[in-house]
Amino acid sequence: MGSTSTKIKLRTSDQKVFEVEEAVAVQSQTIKYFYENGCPGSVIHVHSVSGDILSKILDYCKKHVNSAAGKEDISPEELYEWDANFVKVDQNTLFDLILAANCLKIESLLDLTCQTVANMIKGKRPKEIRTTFNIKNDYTPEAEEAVRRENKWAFDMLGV
Amino acid sequence: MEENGNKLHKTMTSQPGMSDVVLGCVMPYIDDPKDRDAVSLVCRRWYELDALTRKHITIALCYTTSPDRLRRRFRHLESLKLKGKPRAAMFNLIPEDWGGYVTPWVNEIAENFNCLKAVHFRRMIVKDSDLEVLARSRGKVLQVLKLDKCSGFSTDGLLHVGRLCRQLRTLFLEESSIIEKDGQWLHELAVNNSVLTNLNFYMTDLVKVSFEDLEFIAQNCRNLASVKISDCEILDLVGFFHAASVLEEFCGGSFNEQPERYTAVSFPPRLCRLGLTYMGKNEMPIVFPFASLLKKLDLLYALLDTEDHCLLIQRCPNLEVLETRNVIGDRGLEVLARSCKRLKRLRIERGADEQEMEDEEGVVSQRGLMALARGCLELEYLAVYVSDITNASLQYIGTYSKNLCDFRLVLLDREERITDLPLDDGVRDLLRGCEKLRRFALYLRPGGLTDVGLGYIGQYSPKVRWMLLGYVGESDAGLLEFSKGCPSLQKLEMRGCCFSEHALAASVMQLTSLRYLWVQGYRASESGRDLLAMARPFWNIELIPRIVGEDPVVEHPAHILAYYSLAGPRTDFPESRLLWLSIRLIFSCITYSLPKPRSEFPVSVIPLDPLGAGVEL
Repeated sequence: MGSTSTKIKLRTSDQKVFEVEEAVAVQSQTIKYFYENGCPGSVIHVHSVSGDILSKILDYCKKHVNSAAGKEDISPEELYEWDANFVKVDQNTLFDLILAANCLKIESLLDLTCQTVANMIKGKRPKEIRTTFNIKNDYTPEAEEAVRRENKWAFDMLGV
Repeated sequence: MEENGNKLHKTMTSQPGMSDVVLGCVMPYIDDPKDRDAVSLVCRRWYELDALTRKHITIALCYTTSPDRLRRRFRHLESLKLKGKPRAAMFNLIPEDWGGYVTPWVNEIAENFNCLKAVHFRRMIVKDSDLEVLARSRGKVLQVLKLDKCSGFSTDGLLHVGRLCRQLRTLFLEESSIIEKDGQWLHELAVNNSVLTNLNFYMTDLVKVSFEDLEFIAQNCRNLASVKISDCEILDLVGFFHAASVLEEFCGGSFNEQPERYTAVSFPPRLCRLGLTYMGKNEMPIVFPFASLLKKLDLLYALLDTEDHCLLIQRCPNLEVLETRNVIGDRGLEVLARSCKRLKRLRIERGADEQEMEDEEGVVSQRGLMALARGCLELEYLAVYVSDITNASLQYIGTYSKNLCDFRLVLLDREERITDLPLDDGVRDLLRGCEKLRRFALYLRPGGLTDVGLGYIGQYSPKVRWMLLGYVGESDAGLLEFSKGCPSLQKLEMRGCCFSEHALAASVMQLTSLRYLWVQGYRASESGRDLLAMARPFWNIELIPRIVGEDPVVEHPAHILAYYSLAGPRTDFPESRLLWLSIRLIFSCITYSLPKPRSEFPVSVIPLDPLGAGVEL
């Protein structure tokens, strides 16, 4: 579809404009849809994504497009390593990446970022999860106990 | 991205940090029930998001909660597994109408669970009207229906399923007691369904189905991967096997013709899980051409002797699952240990009592177990009825079977002399060696395990969640020592032990994770009074006193069933047959059941062997 030199213009929530190679931009199903159904050459507004986040996301898409197209000599293990480093960011950036990947419909990035957050939850006790994400416990002691009971006695026999 | 003070969009992002959208995206990546439990306890928002996104729930006993509670919390459930009667029901130890009715659950499902696609009922009473309600309400979207060891319904109920559940991928009826009126239900299924992948009415009495309908299903359902049926002449299934081109599993059938007629039968190319009912020595060669592909072999209902087992097993190097009877013998186990290095699951049930079925070698003992432990290092599940046993053989399992998660052993009462009892040290070393054990069953005989051994079980089973113990220990002291350990034990079943009510109650109070107890055969007091020591909030206790049946005169010792419940005492006791007295205490409810005069008590009576015979692993 189109020549490789075609560029797509994206404008972020903070009014930054990015000129992106088509092959990279259409990793986002949302952008792809607007690109294919909008006026040629027009700027696509990415309202919900800031310039900082979009810049990161485009790095991710570029890396994956280049590796898939063989433009960059990178082994699957190296790409895996690169992904692992990519998500080594502070929590709010990680959450913003999830929101953006979700909104732009970039499945592999959504997968990567969500899995990263899920791994921060898995195997932890409720208290540890609260500490990890700085969440306030708004249960009354009685309500918390009721949930605990229901989890233990009714809905969690772990296959026994 | 910070949405400062944006109160209007509270549901989108109510606070800095993880928003609902983010958590909603992450939630599908958390599927371990334990992690889900933790998530639901973080705060109320997380509780709600977990509730909205939980796909599957298993309720291990239907009386621990109510359909209403399930609906209030997990309205968007896609898959539900619900269990009813205690496991002892599988050995006719629980009256048929004890309880476990699906009706209230089906009604709730029909009205409120709009996303439900998979339903699994186990050991429950299902009525034809339940199946009709389910098929009418959920039929268009239902993909999985499992009626697993259920009873109470007929082929009339299945007719609704066949007619209305056109999206059904899996229909599972294995070991259900179904009243067979005709085979029309399968015809309806054949006519209406083209997406079936698993069809199972193995070990049912459904014999009026027509092989033409099976063939039709194979032609229409191009993804048919597993078919397990009742008795049906294999020669009639030639067309079915031909049409079922992607079939991977087949069980059932029967052989009624001369053996040479079966040599022409050809099986689907991908078949790798097989169980041919009544297959004998002469028919066995039909399996040889594809034996090397087999991953699972069910010989529970085959008519093979020890030598036949050896001949067949040595041709199956890729076997991962084997189910058979103890006719396999130590010699068969030695062949298995040599030939099947990938074996993960082995189940050896007790053979039929008819002596002609057994050959002299057809016993499993320490010799076979030791060979197995050394040979099959990937073993994860072992359930076996042995005729003889030693401490050394159990120690071997502890030494070699590092992947074992589930170990179940019954010592049969056939031999009067056992080589090496008590098994205290062997059991200790097995438990210490097999660190992954989650389930553990040990069914011995008086003298098989002392109080010291029972203490070892408590001490060395830190991860075991389910335990079945029969004829172990010598006194209350052993049980009390046992109950100091077992920190993960959720479900405990015991039979034929010498413990008093007082000790049982005291040990229950010590077992911190216990939420389900079933005991049959203990030193019962006249009134059950001593059990009150375990009375506490939410802990339901049901008693079924000693029952003496007639003709033949057999005795069903008293049962105790106790479990935590959020639903309060159940109200569906079988009043027609039993007089139940419900005594509410301040902190708990105990329900006593008393039989009517003997002659009127129609509990299904089967001869119970005082020792190992009467146990279902």
